[in-house]
Amino acid sequence: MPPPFALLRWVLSTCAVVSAHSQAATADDVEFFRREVNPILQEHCRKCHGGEKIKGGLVLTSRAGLLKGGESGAVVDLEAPAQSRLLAMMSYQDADHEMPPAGKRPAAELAVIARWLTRGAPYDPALETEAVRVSGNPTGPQPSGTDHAWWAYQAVRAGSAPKNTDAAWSRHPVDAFLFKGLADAGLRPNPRASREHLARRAYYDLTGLPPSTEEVQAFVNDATAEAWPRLIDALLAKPQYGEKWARHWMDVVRYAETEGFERDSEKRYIWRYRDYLINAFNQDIPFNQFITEQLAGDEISTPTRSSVTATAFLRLMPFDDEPADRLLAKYDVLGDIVQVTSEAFLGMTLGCARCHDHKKDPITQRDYSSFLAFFHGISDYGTSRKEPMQWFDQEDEPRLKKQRDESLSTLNQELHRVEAILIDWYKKQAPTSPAPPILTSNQGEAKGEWRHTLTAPAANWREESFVASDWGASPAGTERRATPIWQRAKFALTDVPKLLALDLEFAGDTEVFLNGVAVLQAPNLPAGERVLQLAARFVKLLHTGMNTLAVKTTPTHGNKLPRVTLLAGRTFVTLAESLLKGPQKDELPGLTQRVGSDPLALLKTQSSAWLAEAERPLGIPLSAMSEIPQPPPLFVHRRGNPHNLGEPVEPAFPAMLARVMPPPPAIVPRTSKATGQLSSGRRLALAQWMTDPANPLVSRVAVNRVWQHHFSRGLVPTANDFGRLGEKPSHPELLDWLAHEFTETGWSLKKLHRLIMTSEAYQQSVTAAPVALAQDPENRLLGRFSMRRLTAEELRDSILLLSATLKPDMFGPPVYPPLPQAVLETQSRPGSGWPKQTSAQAARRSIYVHVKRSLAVPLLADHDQAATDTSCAARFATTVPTQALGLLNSDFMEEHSRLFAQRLRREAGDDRTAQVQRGLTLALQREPLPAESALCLRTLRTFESEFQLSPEGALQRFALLALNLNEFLYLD
Amino acid sequence: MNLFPNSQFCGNLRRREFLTTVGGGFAHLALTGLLAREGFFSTPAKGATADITTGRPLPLKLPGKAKSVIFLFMYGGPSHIDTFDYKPAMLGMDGKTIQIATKGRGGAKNEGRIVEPKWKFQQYGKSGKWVSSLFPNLAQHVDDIAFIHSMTADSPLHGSAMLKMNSGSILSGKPSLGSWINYGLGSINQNLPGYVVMLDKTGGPISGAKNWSSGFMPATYQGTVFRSAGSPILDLKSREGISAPQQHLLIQSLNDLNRSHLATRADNTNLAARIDSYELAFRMQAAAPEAIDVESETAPIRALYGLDHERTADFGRKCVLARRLVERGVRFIQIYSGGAHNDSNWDAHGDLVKNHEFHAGNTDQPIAGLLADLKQRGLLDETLVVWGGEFGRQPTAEYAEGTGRDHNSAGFTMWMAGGGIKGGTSYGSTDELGNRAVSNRCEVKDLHATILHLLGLEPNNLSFFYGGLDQKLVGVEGAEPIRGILA
Repeated sequence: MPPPFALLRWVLSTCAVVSAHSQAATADDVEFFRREVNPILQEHCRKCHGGEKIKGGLVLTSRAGLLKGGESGAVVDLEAPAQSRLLAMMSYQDADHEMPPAGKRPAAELAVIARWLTRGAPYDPALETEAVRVSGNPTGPQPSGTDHAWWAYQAVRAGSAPKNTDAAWSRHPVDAFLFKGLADAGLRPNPRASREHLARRAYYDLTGLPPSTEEVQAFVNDATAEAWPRLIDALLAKPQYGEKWARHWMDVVRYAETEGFERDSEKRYIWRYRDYLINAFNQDIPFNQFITEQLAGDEISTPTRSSVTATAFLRLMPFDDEPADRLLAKYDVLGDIVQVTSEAFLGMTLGCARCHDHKKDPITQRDYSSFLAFFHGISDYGTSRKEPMQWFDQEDEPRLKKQRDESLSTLNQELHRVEAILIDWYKKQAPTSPAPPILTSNQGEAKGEWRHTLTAPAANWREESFVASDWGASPAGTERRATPIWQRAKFALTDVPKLLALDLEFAGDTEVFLNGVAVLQAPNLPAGERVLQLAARFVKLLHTGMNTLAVKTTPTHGNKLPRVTLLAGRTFVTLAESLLKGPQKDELPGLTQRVGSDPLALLKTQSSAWLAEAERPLGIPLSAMSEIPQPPPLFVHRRGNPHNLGEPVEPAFPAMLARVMPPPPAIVPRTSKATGQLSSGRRLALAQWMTDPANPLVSRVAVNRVWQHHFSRGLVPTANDFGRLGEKPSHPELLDWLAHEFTETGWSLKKLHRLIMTSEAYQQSVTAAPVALAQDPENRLLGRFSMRRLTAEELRDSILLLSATLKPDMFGPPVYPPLPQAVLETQSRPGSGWPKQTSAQAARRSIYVHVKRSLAVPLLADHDQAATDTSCAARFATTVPTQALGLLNSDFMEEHSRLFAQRLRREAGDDRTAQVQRGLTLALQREPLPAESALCLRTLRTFESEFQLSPEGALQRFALLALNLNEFLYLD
Repeated sequence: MNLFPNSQFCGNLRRREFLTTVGGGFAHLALTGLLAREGFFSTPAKGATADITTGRPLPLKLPGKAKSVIFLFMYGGPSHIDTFDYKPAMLGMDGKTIQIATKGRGGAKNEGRIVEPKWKFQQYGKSGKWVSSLFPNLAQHVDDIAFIHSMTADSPLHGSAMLKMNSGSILSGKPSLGSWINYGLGSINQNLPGYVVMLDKTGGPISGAKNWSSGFMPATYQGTVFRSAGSPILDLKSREGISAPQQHLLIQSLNDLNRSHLATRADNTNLAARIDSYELAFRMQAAAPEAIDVESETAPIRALYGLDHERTADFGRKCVLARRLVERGVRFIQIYSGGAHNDSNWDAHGDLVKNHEFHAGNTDQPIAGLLADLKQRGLLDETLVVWGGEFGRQPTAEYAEGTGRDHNSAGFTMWMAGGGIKGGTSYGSTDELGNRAVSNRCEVKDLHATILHLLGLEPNNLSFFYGGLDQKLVGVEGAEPIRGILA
C-alpha cells in the first residue's frame, strides 16, 4: 500500500475539476461539508483551533480562519490543493506539526479532507462560528491605558509624615506614618520591649548571631538615649552584618554553587559572588551601584575585580548541560534571567509574559522579548566546563607571583628528591651502546653535501628532484641573521638504517623534510638541544643511493645558525622510556622504599602538579559574565517557542514606566575593559534605567525587602510582585517616603537599617493586647512586634556558637559539613560533589556551606532554607515533626549537644545548678527564672538517678534540651 | 514530611493571605480543617467554602476512586517492545538496516539496524493481552491492568526526562507529583509522612532529591526517603542508649518550659504547633517502625512477594512496605527499580538481554505479588498502581554491534492498575516497529491528569500561586485524564 500522502496526491491528481476559485459554495458542497468534513473538524481539530482555544493562531471554525492560516503561514493552497500544508500536517509529513497530535487520522478521513480542499474548502455558513479570539495575540488582554494607573507604576511621592499628638510616636517619621493607621483603627501601639529582648532582636537582625551575655548586659546597663543607635551602628560595623544580609539577597537570586540537573556540576568560583555580596553589604556599596555591578560590572567604565565578580549574578541559574532541545534550553536560561532580574529589582513578574501577554499587568509578550534582548549577547552562562575568566590586578601581581614561586619551589623540592633517586637508578640502567653513525650534519663533523640560501626559493625546494646549484655552499660560517635560512643536504646510503634520529640545536620556527616529506614542523622551538627519535614511517622514506634532507629555520630569539644532524639509530634510552618499560620487579621494591611510594605514580602526579602550577595564568579565576561581540537578532517567540519566530525585537524598556521616567539611556557598544572584548552595552543601559532615581519600582522594591526582614513581612507582602497579582502596600505613603529617603541619602542600606530600627515601631514588645488581637489579628498595622523563628542559617550558626566551635573565618571556597550516609545514598553516585570534611573543618557560618542543588544539608532544609531553582522572596516557616526529630536525634545535634555540655562543664564547673544556670543563660541570653532552673535541674537529676546516665551523659541531655527550647528558636 | 495539622506555612503572613498564596483559589481539605480547628471560619468548614479573597465558591474535591498511589518507577527506561508492546511485524527483521528517524542519547539518526524483540510473547487473561516472557508472573494480572502504549515525553535524555515524569517539567524547580497529591489531599496519618520514596540499593536516580522535591512549595510537601531496613527515616531513631522513657522525659521537660514560654505569647500559634510537633515526633518514633515491620507478615505473604528468593527479596520487601504504608494512609509511594548509572538500572545501552533479564527478574514476582495482595485485601480498588520509566527504547541498535537500544521518548508504554482503572485495556499504539506513538498519543501531563483525576483532584484546578502564576502540575495549557482507561 502506498503511504497515505501518496494516496492523497493520487486522489487529487485524478480530480478533473479544481474548483479552487469558487466563492459561493454549492448546495452539494455544503452538504459534503456537513456530512463528511465537519465531523472530522469538530471531533479532532476545533477544540484547539477556535473552539476552546486558538493554538498556533489557526482558526478552523470559519472558512476565513482556514484561509488566513496560522502563525507559521498559510495552511491551504487552493491553487494547488495537494500541496496544502494542512495535508502534510494531517498525514504526519511535517515533523513539527503532526495534527491532530493525539494520533494520525485514518486514510479515509485524510482523503475526505483532500477532496474538500480540491472543492475549494467550502464551509456551511450556518455552521461557521466566531472563534474565541480571532485576531491579535492568542491569549491575554491587551494592556490598556488604565492598567498604567496601578499604584506601583506611579512616581514615588516624597510626602511628609502626618502629624500626631503622641509624644513618643511623632518624633520619627516611620512612627508618625504608622501611628495614623493605628489611631484610625482605634488602637494604641505597644510599649518598648525589654532591653534584653531588644539586644537579642538587634543582634540577630543585623548579624544573624546572638549576643553574648556580656554584650546584653552592657546594653541593659547603658540607660542613655544614645545606647540604642550606638548599638545599631556597632552591629552594622561588624563583619557578621554582611554574612547575615548577603544571605537574604542570595535567596532572591536563587544562589547555588552547582548547575543542577543530571550531573549537578560545580559552578567553579561562583562562591566569589557570595564573597562579593558580603563585602558589598559590609562596605555599604550604594544600592544603585550594587545593581549596576551585578547587571553590568564588566561594562562600566572602570571595572574592578569586585564589579566583574558581581556579574556572576547572571550565571546563577540551574543549567542543563544536556538538554533535549538546545535552542529551547538557551531561551529557558535567558528566560530565567529575565524572570529573576525583573522580580529581584523591579518587583515585576516579566517571566509571565514569555508565552503570551501578561494576564494582569501591562506587560506584553513583546515587552518580555525586548527585555530579554538586554541579555541576548551573554555567552558564558554554563560554567562548569569553561575555563574561568582570569582577573589581573596590577597591584595583585607581585603578590600572586610570589605565591606561585613559593608553591613551585615547594613542588620542586619534592620533585627533585624523587628525580634524584630515579636518575641515580637510571644511570645504572642507561645503555652503553656506541654512538650511532652520523648520516649528515651541517656542523663541525660536516657530512653530506650541504647548500643554503637566504632568499625564498621555489616552492619545490624541499623535493629530492630540486636542483640547488645556485645556492651557497656549506652554511657553516654563514653570517648570523635573524631571517629565515633554507638548507639542503644530499647524502648517500648503501644500507637503509633501522632507526633514525634527528639531533637539533636551535631556537625558533623549524621545518625538516626528508626526501620531500615533512618529518618535523615545529613553530617557536625553545632554545636548547634535542634529540628526536623519528617514527618508523619516516625511516621508510629513505632509500639506498642519494637522499635529501631539507631544513628551513627562522630564529625567533637569538639568531644562531641551527645545528642539524641526522643519525642512523639512537643515542640514548630516555629516562621516561626506562621508567615506562618499568623497573624490573626486583628493583621496584628498593626504589619504592627509597622514594616512599610508587615512584612512577609519584613522578606523574608531582610533575603534572608542577606543570599545572607553572602554566596557571597569574590571575584570579572568577566566575563572571562575558558577551559575544554581536548579539544575534532576536524575535518574539510565539507561544514561547523559539522555533516559531514572530516579529523582530530590539532591546527596550517596559513601556508602563515610560510616563514617569525620563527618556531611556542610549545603548552604546563598548570594549569591555574587563574582558578586552566588544560588549553590546545593553546591560549597562538596563542598569542605568533601573537606577534612575525616577524609576519608581527599584527603590520601592529595595526598601520593602529591608523592611520585610526587620518586621517579618514587607509593607508589600509579595516582595517579588508589585503588580496586580501581588498585594497592595499596607502603608503606601510610608513606602514612598522610605524609597525617597533611600535614594536621596545615597542608596545606603546601612542608613536605611538605622532609620527603620531607630523607630519606636521596631522597638515595640511582642505582647498582643486582646483588643489589638481582635482588631488586627495579623498585625498589618504594626501596633506590636511580630515574633519570628530563627532562619535555618541562624539556627545552625547559633548552635555552633554555643558549642564553642564556630570558626570566624570569612570568605573563600565553601565548606562541606559531614552528611549522614543515608542522605548521600540518595545520590546516583553517593558522595559525589560532597568532599569529606570533618565537622570541625566545616564549622563555619552557614553562608559558607556549599549549596548543591541536588543535595541539601538536612538541618538547613528542614528549617525552610530557600529553594535554589527559583527566586525566594519570603521563606516558608513550617513547623513539622521532622524538625523535632532532627533537633533531637541527628548526628549534628548529638555532637554539638555534647560539645555544649563540655563547655558548660568548663565554664561552670561540676556544680549542677551552675551548669543549668549557665546553659539557659547562654541559650536564651537572659537570666533564667528560678522555676525554669529548678525544672531543668530536676530533669537532669532524673536522667542521672533514674536512668543511670553518666554525669556527662545527663548534662548532655540538658544541653540538648536547651538547644530545643522554643525561646531559643524564636525571637521576641 | 506532610503532617499538615501542625504546619504553619507562612508564620507571619496573615491567614487569608495564606489562602491566596498557597491555595490559589483551591483550599485543600487539610488546610481547611486546620483553619477550622483554629476557629478561623465562623462556621465549621466542611471541605468546601467560599474563597475569602475572591468570593468564588471553591471547587469541591471530586469523589475519587483512589486514595493512594504506588508508583513503580522503572528508572533508566524499560524497552516497551520487549515487554508489553507486542510487535509481531518485527519478527525476522533482526539485523536489517532500515530508514528510520530516531532521537536518543546518541542524537538524531535516520537509519538503524533493527534489533528484534528478544523475548517471546504470549497471550494472557480474558483480555488476551500479549506479554513477553520477561514478566510471566505479572502477566497473570493483565485483566486488572490498563496499558498505555502511546506515551510520549519531551526529552530522550535522562536528566530532563526524569524531571518531566516526576514533576511535569523538563526544567528543575517544580514540585513533584507526590508533592502535588499531598498538597491537594493532605495526609490521613499524622504519624507517617504522606509522600514516601524508596530507592534502589545501588543508589538514587540521577539528580537525586530533585526527583522528589517540593520545588517552590514548602519543604513539607517533599518526598521522604524511606529505607526498607534499619531506621526507615533519617533521625527517626533515638540516639544509641536513649530509651523511649528517656526520650519522653526530655520532651516532657522541654514542653513544660515551652508551655510557660507560650503563656505570655498565647497568640502565636507557631509556638503551640512546635510544642505539638515534639509530641508527634515521639509518636512517630513508635509508629514508623511498626509500619515497616515486614517480619510480622505471614510466610505465604512473604512468598507471594518473592521475599524468599535472593533476586526478588529487595524489591519484594519494598512492595510489602508499600502495601503496609497504603494501609496506614500514606498518599504517595514511589519505589525505584534501578539506581545509579548504566546497567544498575534499565538503561540497556549495551547488552539488552542481560540488562532486562536482570531488572525484570528482580521485579516481576514482587509486582505480581503486590497486585495480588492488594486485590485479596480489597485495597486494589482504592490504590492506584503505576508502572513505567522516564521513556522507552528504540527498535534499532545503538551501536554497530550488540543488542543495546538507545532512549526513545517518541513512543513507550506505561501501565496502571487498581483505583478506578479499567482493567484489561490497551490504549493507544505505536507504529509497527514501536518507534513512535501513532494513535491516541498521550503526553506525560495526560498521565499526571489521570492520576490526579483518579484521586478526586481536578487537574486543571489544582494550582499553587508562585511567581505571578497559578502553577499547575499539568502546565498552563492544562490536560485531560485519559478517559479510555477509566473504569
